[in-house]
Amino acid sequence: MKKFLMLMTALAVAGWVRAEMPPVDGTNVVGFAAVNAAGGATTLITVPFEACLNAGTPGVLADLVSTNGLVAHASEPAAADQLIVLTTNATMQIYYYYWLKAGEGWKGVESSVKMPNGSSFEVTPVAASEFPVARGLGFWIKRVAGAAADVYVKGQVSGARQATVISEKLNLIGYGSVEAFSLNNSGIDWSGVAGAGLKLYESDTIMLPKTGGGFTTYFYYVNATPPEAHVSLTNKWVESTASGLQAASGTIAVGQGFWFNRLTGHGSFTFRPDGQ
Amino acid sequence: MNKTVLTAFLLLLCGVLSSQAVVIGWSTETAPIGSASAILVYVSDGSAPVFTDGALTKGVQIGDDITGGAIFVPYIMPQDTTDAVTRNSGTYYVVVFNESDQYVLSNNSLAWNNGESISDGEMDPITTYHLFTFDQNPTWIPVPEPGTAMLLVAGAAVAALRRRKRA
Repeated sequence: MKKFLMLMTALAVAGWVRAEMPPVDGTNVVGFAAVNAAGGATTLITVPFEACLNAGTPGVLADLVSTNGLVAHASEPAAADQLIVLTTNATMQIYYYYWLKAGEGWKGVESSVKMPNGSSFEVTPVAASEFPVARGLGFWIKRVAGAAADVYVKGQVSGARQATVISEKLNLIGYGSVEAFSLNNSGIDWSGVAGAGLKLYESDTIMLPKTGGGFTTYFYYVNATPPEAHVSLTNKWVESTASGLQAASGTIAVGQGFWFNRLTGHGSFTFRPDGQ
Repeated sequence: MNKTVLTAFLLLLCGVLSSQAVVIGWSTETAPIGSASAILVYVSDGSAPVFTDGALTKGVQIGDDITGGAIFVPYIMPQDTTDAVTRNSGTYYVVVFNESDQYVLSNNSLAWNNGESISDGEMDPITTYHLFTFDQNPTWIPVPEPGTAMLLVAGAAVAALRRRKRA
């Protein structure tokens, strides 16, 4: 009987406390986006969301990729899915590799790994819970063979598009939005991108990974006096093929990352999908 | 004997299947006056490509012919040319042709292991397009015709026969 009275009292107190609490007021919406990243391949992805409850500031790598559906392993980094992020050491741009350890989460790979310039050596990555990844930045996910096709990125949905500062040399970025976009037809203000007329090899480039490996490279074509064949291409992203130049076409999917190679000597450039 | 041939074939097949494509990023800003088309050529011993009997007899062409739409003398627009084989030696050259089927070789070459201009992995982008250089007004070399070569051989044979008869 005493127990029953105590239980009833506890329920009454809990009800009173609940009634006194103000309701949570806000518009935060947490979103997930499925990104195609096939097993046995390395895919460049980006997070289109803000870090949860922390709008405007970078999240950390460990929080932005859902481990749902990913392959973990108890002890072998090579047998687990991996995240690979671009950073710099004292002298060059390098990669940090993280592998999904069963029951523990993302752990740094400390054995010899391949770097952006093709060389291989050992590094000690900072903890994945300390590596900042702002919305609009890109990183690689390396799936083990046989893994399911989709991975999920998560975070707080924002209606605003994300401006991203691009530094000289290589940058891994994405379009910080939950919409697909095209390079030449999305109303993006490309002011500040470096072009060099027919010296196209001196232009800023965007490198978009191709299915099955390799990249499609797009050059920014700016030419005050273009040849007749190029008049319609000036101030556009173009692809250079064995038969000539053609304007970049097609769309870049939500969650798809890409390389932006900013020419040395041109300083930083802000990628402004919002056009502001 | 059959076993040896079969083993050699299997080893060759394994080598081909395990080979990995690389992408060579290249361009030029000194294409000769009169350039009409171009090809990228790989030579395993690093020496210059050679044409005989109307064909490339030293070196192999990599990728497609670069045609007029990609050439604005003195520029050849940047090319990402895929080589289906990962090399462990040798160099790449560019050969430019004019409208008269004459050619010139690039003055410089690109080593098989150039990390900036050759991408050999999924996460390894090309950061610098290698610039092949040419003389602006070169001496164009006719590609030897197969018929010409045959005539030379026949002429040499006739000359040798005559020498024998005289002896």
